[in-house]
Amino acid sequence: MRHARSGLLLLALIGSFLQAQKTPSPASQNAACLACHGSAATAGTLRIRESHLPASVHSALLCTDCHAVKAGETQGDIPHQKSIPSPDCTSSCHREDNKARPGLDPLSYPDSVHGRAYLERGVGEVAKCWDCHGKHNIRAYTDPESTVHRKNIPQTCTSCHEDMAVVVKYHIHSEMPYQEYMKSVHGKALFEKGLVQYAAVCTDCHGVHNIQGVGEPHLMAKQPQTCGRCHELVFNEYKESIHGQQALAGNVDSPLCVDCHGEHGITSPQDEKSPVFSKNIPDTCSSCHARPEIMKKYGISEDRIATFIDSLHGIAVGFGSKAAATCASCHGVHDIRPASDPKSKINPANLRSTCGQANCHPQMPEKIASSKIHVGPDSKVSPVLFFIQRLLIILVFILLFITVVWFIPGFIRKARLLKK
Amino acid sequence: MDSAPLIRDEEVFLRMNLAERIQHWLLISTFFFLIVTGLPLFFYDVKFFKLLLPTGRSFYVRGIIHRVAAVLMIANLVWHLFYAALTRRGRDNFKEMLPRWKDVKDAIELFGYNVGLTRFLQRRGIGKKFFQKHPYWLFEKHPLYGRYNFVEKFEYWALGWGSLVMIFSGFFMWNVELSLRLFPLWVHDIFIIIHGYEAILAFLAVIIWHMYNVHLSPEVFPMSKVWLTGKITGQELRLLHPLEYEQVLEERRKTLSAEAL
Repeated sequence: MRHARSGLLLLALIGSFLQAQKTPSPASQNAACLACHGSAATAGTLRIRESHLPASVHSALLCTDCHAVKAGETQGDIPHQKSIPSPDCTSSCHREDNKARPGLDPLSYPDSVHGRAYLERGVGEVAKCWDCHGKHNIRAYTDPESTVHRKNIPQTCTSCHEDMAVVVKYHIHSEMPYQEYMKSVHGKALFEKGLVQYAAVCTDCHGVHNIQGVGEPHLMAKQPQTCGRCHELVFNEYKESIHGQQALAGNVDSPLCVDCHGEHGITSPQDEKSPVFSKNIPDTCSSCHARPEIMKKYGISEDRIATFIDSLHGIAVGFGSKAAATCASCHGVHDIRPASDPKSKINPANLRSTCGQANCHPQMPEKIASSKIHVGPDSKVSPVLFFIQRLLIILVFILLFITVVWFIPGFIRKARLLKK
Repeated sequence: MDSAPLIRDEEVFLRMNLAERIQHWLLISTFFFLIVTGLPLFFYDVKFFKLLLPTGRSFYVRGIIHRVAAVLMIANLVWHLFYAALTRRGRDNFKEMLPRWKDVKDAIELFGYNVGLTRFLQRRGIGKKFFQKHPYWLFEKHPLYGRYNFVEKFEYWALGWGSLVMIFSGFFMWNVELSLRLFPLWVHDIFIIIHGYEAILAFLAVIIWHMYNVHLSPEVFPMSKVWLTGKITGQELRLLHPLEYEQVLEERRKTLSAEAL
């Protein structure tokens, strides 16, 4: 037993010696660098904390694998050249080609908003590999400690994107994405419910290495397909709708998911601040449907919102009633179709069942199908209603006139008589 | 001429009996609630009403109150109709309420009297001959009213007519499905418009006119107490309802002379 043990020990020692001979262990090689950079005497960013290295996925690498250090140019007390070029992570490693999600591939970085700024325009402040992934403490994205672990991504992006100096300097469209995100359904799902794998984080919508800036055509964060990766059934409904068909065919007038639901601050439709909360729906739809320059193109009347707001449904919705019909109650939500479409909720054939929803007007007669809806007191569309309204307004003014003519002089006279 | 006047100034007359006062109280309260819960729909843009109904729930409660008040008001109206038809006092009052030609003349006379334009012209010597021939057009005297003056009559009939319109249009707004079964949608839209504007008319006619008469009018300021006590004094009768005063006086004279005989 004793002999056997000492024999094994010997073998192990010889083995490790031989290995060391072949390729020097990273620890011993890096020790030379750490002699200076690991010393407590070294100030600021040049100092590397020993503890970073062993936990990093790169613990097996040499400093020189990333830092192109040329030795021998000893000047003074620095044993390498004065300025060392920044590491290039994709020169010999990280050349993965992810066909399913191209954005995951670090090679897409040069064509991203960050990559172009850094590589083409030489903007030093922009996000580079190590700004997101860390420097000497790089960990796998699956490691909860990693700065690019799903749960940490929002904070990582925020370190620049809520820095007002950065936002102002580079004209960044969104000023407080994290503050908004934190209160959104996605943010709450991540931070409150802990749905790390299901809650959308920045990179799910904006892309990973291939993040593009606002103004770029087919911006991933605005594409309905992006939302559809999680909200699949909604996307299927949407792409059949008039809005979806047009938007996916490249019509920029047609609303995308984000146009109605919001972006970073996206909240549940039950939230009072949501643009698709029942009370806010008319406002949200009006951002297109009350604009003549858009509506004229499609032959849709732009008074739809105004006539709705003026109707009893609209008034009730305006006061926050949840029972009253909003635009979506009749026209549908993701499945909005033109009235001419037989599948449309407002097609004359379907109008009775649309108005006759169980908690609306279940006894609605069939002949509603032939009625014109969205009719206000307009001299052209509904002259009868218009003239009756005019007549009543005139009556009100006559009454006011009588009030003024009979009572005010009477009041003055009576007051004078009483004084005497 | 007589040492003991037939109608003393302090004598108390009954202007509204208890039944009439209860009808009036019911009318005031239901009218108030109907206006408060109805006006926000007409002036939905006014911030005050948004504050009055801050939530969807309060809006729902508003609807309930409006309907309850409507039913009570209709019940009150039915009671009043029976009261006016079946009681002697009700019938008498109703007859007094009927509009007459005199009411139109009273309205013109009051206007002329209040404005005083013709007296102003006469003082300036304009149309002297005309005014000498036709002193009526000088409107020197305040018109003399009976039990109900033309304003009160107007209010009464405005309320009656308004109630009919509001009950009819309101009933169909309450029962949308029935309404749409009977009428096309555009007729239903007319009901909605009429209900709103008639409310404004009622608000002006009843609230402003009536409030002026019973509160602001210098004779009664700050408030006439008839609606609470139902009583007016002989003096008020003589000043505000001179024709009724004359009538009472005449009756008393007759009974006096009958007694003397």
